[in-house]
Amino acid sequence: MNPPATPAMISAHRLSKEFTVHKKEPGLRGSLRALFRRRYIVKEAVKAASFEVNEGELVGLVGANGAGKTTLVKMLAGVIHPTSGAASVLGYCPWERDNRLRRKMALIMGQKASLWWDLPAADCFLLLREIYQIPRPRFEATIEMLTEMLEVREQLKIQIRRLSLGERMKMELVAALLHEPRVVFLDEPTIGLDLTAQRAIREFLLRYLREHRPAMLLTSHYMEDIEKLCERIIILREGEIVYDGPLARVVATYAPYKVVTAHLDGAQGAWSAESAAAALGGLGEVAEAAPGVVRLHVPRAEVARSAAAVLRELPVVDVTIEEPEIGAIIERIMRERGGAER
Amino acid sequence: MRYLRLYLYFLRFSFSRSMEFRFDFFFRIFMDSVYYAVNLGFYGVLFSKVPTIGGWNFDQAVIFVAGYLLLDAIDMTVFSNNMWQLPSLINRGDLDYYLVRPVSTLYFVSLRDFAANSFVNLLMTIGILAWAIARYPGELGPASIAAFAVLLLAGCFLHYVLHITFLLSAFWLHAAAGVQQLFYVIREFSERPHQIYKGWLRQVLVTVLPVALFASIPAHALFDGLDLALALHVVAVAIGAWLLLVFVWSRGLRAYVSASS
Amino acid sequence: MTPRLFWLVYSTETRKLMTYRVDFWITAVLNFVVSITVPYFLWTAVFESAGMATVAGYTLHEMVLYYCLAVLLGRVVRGSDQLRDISTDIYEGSLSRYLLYPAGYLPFKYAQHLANLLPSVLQLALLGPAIAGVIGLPASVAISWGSIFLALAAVAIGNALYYLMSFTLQTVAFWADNIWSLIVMMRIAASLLGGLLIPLSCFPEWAQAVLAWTPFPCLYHLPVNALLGKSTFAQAAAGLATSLAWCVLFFGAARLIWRRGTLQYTGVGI
Repeated sequence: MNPPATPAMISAHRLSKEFTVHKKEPGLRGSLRALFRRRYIVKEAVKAASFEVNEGELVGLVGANGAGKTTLVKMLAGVIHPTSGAASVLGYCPWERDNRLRRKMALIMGQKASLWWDLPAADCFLLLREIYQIPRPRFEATIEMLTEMLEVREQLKIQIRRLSLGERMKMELVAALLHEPRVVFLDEPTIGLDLTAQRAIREFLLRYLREHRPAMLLTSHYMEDIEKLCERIIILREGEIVYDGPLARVVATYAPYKVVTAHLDGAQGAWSAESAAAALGGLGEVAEAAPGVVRLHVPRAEVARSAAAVLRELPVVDVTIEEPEIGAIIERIMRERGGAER
Repeated sequence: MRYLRLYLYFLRFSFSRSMEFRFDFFFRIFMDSVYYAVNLGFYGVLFSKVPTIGGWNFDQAVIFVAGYLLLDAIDMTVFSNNMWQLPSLINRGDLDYYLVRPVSTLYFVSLRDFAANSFVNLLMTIGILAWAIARYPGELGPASIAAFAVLLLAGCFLHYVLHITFLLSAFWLHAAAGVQQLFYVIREFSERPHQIYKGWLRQVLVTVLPVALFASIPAHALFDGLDLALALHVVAVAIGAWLLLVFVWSRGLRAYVSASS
Repeated sequence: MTPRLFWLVYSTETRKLMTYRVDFWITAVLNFVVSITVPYFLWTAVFESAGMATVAGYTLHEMVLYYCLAVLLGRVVRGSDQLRDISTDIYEGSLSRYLLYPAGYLPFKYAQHLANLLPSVLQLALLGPAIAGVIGLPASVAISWGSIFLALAAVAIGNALYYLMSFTLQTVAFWADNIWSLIVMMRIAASLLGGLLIPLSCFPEWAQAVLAWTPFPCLYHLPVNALLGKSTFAQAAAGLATSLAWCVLFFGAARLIWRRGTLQYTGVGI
């Protein structure tokens, strides 16, 4: 592979983090024993993660709960120190927390509020202006632009705690982007929000990315976030990167089949789900067989032949041939045990 | 300069917030009045039995008490809210946002929450100290009063440094209420004249755990004069304590695990 | 509330407590050492300055013993200093949960409170004899079964009284947001007026006469002096009777305020 023309904005090299947690036996006796002697177990939250993110790129970090997404993001944001490995963000080592880096970086966590609960957002922004030393004209222009894009102009003067969850998250975004960061870490930015707010935030992020071209690293539980926002994803499983590449290629790599769906003619009632399944089992895996619908996972090479067979064998009203759903595949990869795929 | 401007924001925020809790405001005045009365009352009862303690008579002890009450009020107003929150900031992983800001995190977590509702107590204790000095029958020159004030402020600084150093144990021990409480216990040493402590204990209290420097040494300087050796000693201890704090803080951040959300 | 439920609440609470390992020992030993060292040096200076063998009826030896016991017994009387959970329950809304339980709130909380007493009792049991061994018992002090019994009674009543007082104060939280300062205030006042900071016999006569009618002496003064045999049986009995009366009074007040408060409780947050 050729080296990129400009150095990556975020790069991680064999980044690892171990935690020690103590185990406590249940019951009063266990507690008493723990007073004197404790048993510790080492948990590897992130194992030798290496990757790079470039300018204008929004990379999705996906994984099950406890896969190490948040830990990875926090190491890159310089909040926690890694056990081993190296990282560079805009050329700085993040956990040295150089002010020059901190001025160009933002961290947004959907589960933790950074704004002062009892104050209106406008006041909080003034404090942030002071912290980041943003010149006043630029500060005002940025607020104007961001609140316009997120449609929260009207809410600027209202106490944060009186805002809805969606509005509050939008304010958090404004707060995080006030200083026009070049690197943005987003940890579950849409968690707990309703669909409208989720969509609004997604659209905003895409537009912001297009117009300002920062490097963004996003973790999310919602597959829709990932599908709509990220061209490239990194999948973590038990602390290990199991996939790093274009979102589109996940399907080709991990789902060597297509979905053939046949809608059957209900009038010819002789076709029950069971009999359809029995008749078509040879063509591919029967994923679903309900009255009137049969869905097959067919190997890519045999799609044409199988579709023809379906048309021939069944009283078909309609046939569709689709790529499998990305979210479902990713979730399968995330949950698989022991790296059989690699 | 920039940090001063930031502090003005903290002040503004805290005043606008404390208006929300009216009762707390009055309760605090009430509580601290009881606290002042108990401390003065304690020495009053004690001196009804003896003429001097550790070389000080009652009038001198009153100034000493007023000194540590003022120190306490300054601590309550400037630092206490921040100190109370610090362990849970560390344990619940709420330090994250402070760590990504381009401002000293230690500055932020130490000073961001000014207790506007303790402000009246600050005025009250200044009043008590003024009263204690005014009623003092002996001669107190303006120079010694100024030295006393400066040393008392140094005492506040040491109080803060020592306190937060104890609290930072939360980086390593996740339920460290005991270690944190230990500071308050050790602080009790500072509320008695340091002359009563003998031998190595006194040495410890003026160096390693310099609680004698909070209020007792300043009062000592007020009555017996401040010489160069003492002044240098206070400066050295303050610098030493600060270096220790910075060291513990940076080690603590290495151990910070940021409770996963 | 059935005894079984009471026990269950008690043991669950104890378990929570045990998880704090380092804390447990540090609180126990270091706190104790420091809280004895300060009065020790103070009184050494006082006795030097006074130039007498006894001050306020105590020799220096007895005085040191007094403080050791006041600290240890006082911890049992106060229980843990986490006496804020009632007001927290009220203004954070978690009271709603308890109101749904088919058990009285006060007994439920008192069971938890008693559980939090266990470490203090352990400390008393371990450190008490250790202290007696280290500093020795002066000949003038005679600890008998009778004095132990009286002291235990005083501790039990003192514990209930302190709890009822703080409970009553905390119910103010139905009307005000932030009441921790009231609790701290009570503790500070009790430390002087109850005899933790300084034995009550140091006070002027008239003050002692007044204090005898307040709820405070039962917290430190009565248990310690009963144990040391410094107060006569009649004195101790009169003190305990007064304290019991205060218990009844505070119990009545707590119930009354509680009923008023729950009527207008809104259950914030749930």
